[in-house]
Amino acid sequence: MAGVESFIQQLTTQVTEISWSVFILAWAIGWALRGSPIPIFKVKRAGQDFIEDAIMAAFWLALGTTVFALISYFAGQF
Amino acid sequence: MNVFQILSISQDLAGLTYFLGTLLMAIPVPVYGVKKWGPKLIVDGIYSSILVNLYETLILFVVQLGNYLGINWTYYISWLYQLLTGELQVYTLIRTLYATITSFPYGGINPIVGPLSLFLSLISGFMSITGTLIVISQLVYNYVGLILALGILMMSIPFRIGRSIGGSLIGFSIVFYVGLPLLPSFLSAFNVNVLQSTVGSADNLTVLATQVIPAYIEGTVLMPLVYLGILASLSVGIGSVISGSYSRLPIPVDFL
Repeated sequence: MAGVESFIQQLTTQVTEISWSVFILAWAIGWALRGSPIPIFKVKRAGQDFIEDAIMAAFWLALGTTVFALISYFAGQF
Repeated sequence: MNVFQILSISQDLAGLTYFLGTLLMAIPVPVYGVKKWGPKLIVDGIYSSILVNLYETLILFVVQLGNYLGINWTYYISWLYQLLTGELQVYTLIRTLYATITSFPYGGINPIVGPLSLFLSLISGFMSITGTLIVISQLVYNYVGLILALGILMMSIPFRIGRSIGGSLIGFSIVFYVGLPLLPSFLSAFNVNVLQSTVGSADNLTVLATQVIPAYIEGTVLMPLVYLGILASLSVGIGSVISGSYSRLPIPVDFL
């Protein structure tokens, strides 16, 4: 049981790290597409979408990290 | 297996689901089929986490609802065993009659042997049904917390893999824990008092065929079938509400 738990926790930590990295990547790609001198609206729109999604993902990541850490903390107190 | 270990794993899985959702939301791939899983997984993670933390509240709610409806598990289990004992008495009586008749020379061709064999088969069937009811009841009574925790664990698996069965397990544990002990009351409400259908050694075959066997058919087959059907429908309904998708019972109740 403890093995399964630590495996899932390790996986979650890795996924969180990858998520932050992907957020930075998406943010950079988004601004690159949005600021690129390509007169194609769809490309610029995709860049805008990447930026919006990345910001939302970062918001939920920060919130989730805090909330789940708080739940673990309170659960550990009892 | 410790229930709280299962809940701990469920909480970890809920966190994993949530962070997988954020990963998919952030991923710079303009494919809607992939991106749409982001918000879904975030919501699933939050929902599973809420269910994990509501576990004790759910158990308390089920017990309080049971108290409010006046359930008594001890009485119910004792009622089931009394029913089984009554069936066993009838079976023993018929078996004795059968053995007595067939012990005579050419007893096997006595016309009464046919109905007696039929009654033996029927009573065996009734006992099987009562035995199955006892097993299901003991399972629900002793493991309601475990079934509920397993339901929450299934709900916490990422990408909604166990969502349907998880909702079913939660609905099943709630409805059957509250509903099963009300079976004797349900039978009484329809004036079916199957425990009074016992027989003495002096009772003849006419009493068996016209009173005891019909009472058992009604009280151990037809009415429990209807009642379990009602409980099954409620379980599936609650399972669908909890899982938000198609739900089905974790155990077959069509053994009748």
